[in-house]
Amino acid sequence: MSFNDEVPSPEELAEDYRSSLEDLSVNSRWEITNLTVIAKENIHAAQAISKVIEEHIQKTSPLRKLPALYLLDSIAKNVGTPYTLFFGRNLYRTFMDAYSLVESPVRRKLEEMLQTWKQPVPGSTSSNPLFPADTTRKIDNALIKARTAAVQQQQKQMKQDSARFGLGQPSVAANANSGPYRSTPTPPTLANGHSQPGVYTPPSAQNFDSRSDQLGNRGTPQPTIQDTTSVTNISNNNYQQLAAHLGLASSSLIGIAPTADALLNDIRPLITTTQSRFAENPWDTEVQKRLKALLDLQTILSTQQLPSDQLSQIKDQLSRIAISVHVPPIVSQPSHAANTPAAPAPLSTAGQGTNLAALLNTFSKPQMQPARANSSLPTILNIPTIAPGGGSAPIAPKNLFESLISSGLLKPGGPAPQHISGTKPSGLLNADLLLSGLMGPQIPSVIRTGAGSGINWETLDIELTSASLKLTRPIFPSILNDSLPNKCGSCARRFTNTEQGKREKAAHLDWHFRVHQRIADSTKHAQFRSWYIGEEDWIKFREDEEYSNATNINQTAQALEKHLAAATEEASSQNFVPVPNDPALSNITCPVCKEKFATVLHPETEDWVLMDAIKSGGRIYHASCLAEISKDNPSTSAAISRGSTPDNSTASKGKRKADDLASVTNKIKKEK
Amino acid sequence: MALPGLDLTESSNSTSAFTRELKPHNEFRFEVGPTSLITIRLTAGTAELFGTELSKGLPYVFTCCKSAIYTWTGCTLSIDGTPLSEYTSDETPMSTYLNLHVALEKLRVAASDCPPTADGAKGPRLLLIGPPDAGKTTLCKILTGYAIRQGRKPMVVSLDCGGEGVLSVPGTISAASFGSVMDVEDGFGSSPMSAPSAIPVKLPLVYYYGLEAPESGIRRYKKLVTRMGVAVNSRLEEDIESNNTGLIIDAPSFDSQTNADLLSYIVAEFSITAIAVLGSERLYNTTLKAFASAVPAVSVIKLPNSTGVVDREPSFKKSCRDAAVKKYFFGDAKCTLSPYTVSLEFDSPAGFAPWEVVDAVGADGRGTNISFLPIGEDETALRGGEEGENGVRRIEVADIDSRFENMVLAVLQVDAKDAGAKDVGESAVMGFVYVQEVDEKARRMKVLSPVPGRVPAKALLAGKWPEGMFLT
Repeated sequence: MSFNDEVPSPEELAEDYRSSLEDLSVNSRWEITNLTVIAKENIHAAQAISKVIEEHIQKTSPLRKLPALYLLDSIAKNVGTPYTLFFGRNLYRTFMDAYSLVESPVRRKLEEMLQTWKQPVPGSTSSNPLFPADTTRKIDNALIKARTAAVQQQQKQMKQDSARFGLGQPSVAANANSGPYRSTPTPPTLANGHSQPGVYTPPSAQNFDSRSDQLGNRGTPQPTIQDTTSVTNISNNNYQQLAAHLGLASSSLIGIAPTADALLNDIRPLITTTQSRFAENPWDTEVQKRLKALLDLQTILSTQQLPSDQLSQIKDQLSRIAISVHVPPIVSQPSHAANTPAAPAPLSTAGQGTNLAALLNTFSKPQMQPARANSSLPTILNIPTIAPGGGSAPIAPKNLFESLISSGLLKPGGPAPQHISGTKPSGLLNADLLLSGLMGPQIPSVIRTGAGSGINWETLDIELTSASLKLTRPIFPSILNDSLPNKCGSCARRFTNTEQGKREKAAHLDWHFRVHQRIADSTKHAQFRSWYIGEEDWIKFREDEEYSNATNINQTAQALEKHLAAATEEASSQNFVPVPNDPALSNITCPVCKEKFATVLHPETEDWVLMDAIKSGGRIYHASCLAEISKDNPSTSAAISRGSTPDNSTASKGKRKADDLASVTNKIKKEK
Repeated sequence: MALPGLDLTESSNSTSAFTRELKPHNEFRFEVGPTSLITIRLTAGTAELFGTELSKGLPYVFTCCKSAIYTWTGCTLSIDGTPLSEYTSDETPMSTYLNLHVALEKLRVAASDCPPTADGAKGPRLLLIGPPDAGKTTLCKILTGYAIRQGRKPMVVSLDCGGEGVLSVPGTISAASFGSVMDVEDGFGSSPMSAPSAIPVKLPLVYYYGLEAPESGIRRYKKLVTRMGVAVNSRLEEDIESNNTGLIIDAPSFDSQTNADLLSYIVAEFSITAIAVLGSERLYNTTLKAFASAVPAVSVIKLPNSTGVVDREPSFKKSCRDAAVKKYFFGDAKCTLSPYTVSLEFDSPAGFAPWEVVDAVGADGRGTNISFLPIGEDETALRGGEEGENGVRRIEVADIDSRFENMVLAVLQVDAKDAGAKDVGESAVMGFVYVQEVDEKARRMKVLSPVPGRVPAKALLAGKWPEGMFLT
């Protein structure tokens, strides 16, 4: 530690480094950089540190091997000798042992890393590869052998597979993770999907490897749609054909006499797509407006009888929206566009709406080639104005809005684009206006006035009777999610879109983060089920807002810990483990309090045992010490370690906490 | 090849991954064997598993289950692993179930608008009944999931002692308030443990009934229902939010008129306002008649059961029950728990008071099922006495024998020293221990305890359900 004035011995450093390594559980660029810097500062202990890292890679669980190997990679590339020498000696074993234990996505990352090891370090003056060629070649050979074996196995399986699945489903084969390994230049990302921004990626080979550069180009989306001049002068007819092609193949869009049902069918996929786009970009007011307009339109269609001329008007607007909704996936995934289902994945459309033009401009125009080779769709190519370069996405909803307003379907000025979860219906659709505008029959309608509690529950046509439950009501599915539209990405908990809801969601995400940290820590200790609580406690117990309210966290914790404490008090007299057979271990101390165990002859087992001891994760602890550290008291987590990096409180929390607790337990023991 | 396991993982990975595209309102049904794992990811669209939404991109791992993923809007699933069977169905009763939810939600909205103290502030209290394997527990999950999605806090009561248990082991009845999302992978989720959990744990109130069917010990079962009813009602009175949301009760399997008495008993104890009958026309009609003139009014509704309902063969159910017990002690893949082996001395002064569930007491207090009695017992010992009344019997020291091996004992909340038959019969449960070994001479049992340390000196209750099993 840099606090100390005297230089610590390599052994101490290594020990310290080892405990820091234990905290390296996820692929965090920050932690890896930090550990690299420490390795650099303590270059005199390089041999000890590299040994510790190798041992760690050897011993740690397969889930943690990748970050550890990335650390090795980082040190080798950023510090260089003497670390490369030390790592190089055992590189084959270190790499292959890890490789054989991890899952195949991680293997792919390891292979990518191995590729970079054959290159000189980017930015360095030396042209020698990072590790000597014969070292990496040995690994390569082993991998090739392994792969051949795997491919043979695979082919056998593929044959069985195709027999099993038949020819009717070619997508099965296409989507299977099969085929020979192809070195993609994609920078490795974290395997478990924990998408922190600070993920460590080994310096990508792209910078200095021309071969992968080519691969990189291959992976780039090839825009295939011709440039556009203007969106407004396309005839409706073209729109319809395009919309039909884009997966909205319902006859209603092309047909002559649209029906409300057919239109509803068309709206549904549009809503889905727009909703997911909205979820990705909740601040895009254009998307919001469009979603709103679609939902309102759906309500109207499902509840009102519209004259056919209005239906066709809506139909035209719909096909316009359909295009603006569906064009972006075409831009990014041209080859799939032809078979895009009704609800394509708008994965690459995060920056929809206004940013679309900018996005398009990143592809220079000469690159755009009419590569849509699908001969069944000749009309598409004849339309010079498909792509939304002119910003059709923002325009279309506005058009719909205006025309809805002009036809009297919507009350002008009324629409509030934001989802406001007010307590009262805010009258987006005014029933009177609807009636006067449509002159339709007087149907008591379900009027949805935006999200939140905007559903008018009192007039909702549903009763708790067998007959009423039988009817299918197409708008109900949206009720499920609309009252709380703001969804947590990792656990599907829902929040309102109000300020309060956003605050709650932020607190909820913090909670996820904390729990994630604690889960990472908890793998080091033995865990157990708690006793249930009694009737009285249960009646008083409230689990609400566990995470947003700090006091409640404590209440919950206390309720549970009351029982834990009772249990652990008695634990000390009950727990024992047999004395280890290995004589070297007979004098072991508790890793927490560093005191020895009491050895007695236990009457029941008739064997020598260590009293008050618990074995956990291969180490023996005092039962009370283990219980102390397992309790995971949140108040101690503020402890900071590693002076050089003050904000690294989370990285080495586990260790520091153990130290703190050790001193506390020692105190308690002395007092006894 | 010096790479152990390499070929194996490669082949399973490369050949068994596939995707399924679901049209709107379709359901992907799958079965996974007890030893295999499958991983499902939602890659596009939206989907839900029994009412709980899936998050896009997250891997969900399933083992030993027969389950289904439904989509309202269409979705794409990518599946890794080999399910025992899988298919996509477009015939589901989901829109009816959703209607039921919306109808309940309408009542909840009405309840929330009432002043908190008024009687109208009670949300709908729904009882789900039906023959075995009609999908009661599944519907219970769906309705709970939907209510949570709308920000409600439903109180879920499982009275199905023959099932797998909710947040507990089989043979129990339990209640818990569901204020946070449920675990997609894992039934109703997990009860509290020392480890942190990514899905908030639910805190159940548990009673141990210890027999498979309510009829075998109907008196004690009713007493437990009453205790549960009192606790649930008191909690709802204090917690306005839960009160507005109401109750969802998963009843034990009802298939005939024989349970009519019990049914009206449950309805009274929990002030049920609606009964949903799943999948049995006959049961629906008898129930409808029985509650036609009930005061206060009880709506009886008929629901179709899912075409995906599978008859789970006894062996599968047994392995599910064993898995539930195993999960109680050892946790699951996400969080491994370490139970402790302790020995219980029945001769020691601190002592334990072991009791046993008696299943021979019929509704009239007369033994009806003598063959289930422990050897050496006869009908007369049970009739009339205090023990018989309460459906439990104190185990004499001499009775500590090997028949308890491999069984689960409930550790009750009542202290051992002042436990009478009445207390023991109606006490809530603190936890369970699993008997590994009985030493008849030394009057000692080696048990697996979920919590480190000595097992508290509480009354212990041995039942006959779940049946014995081997935990490894």
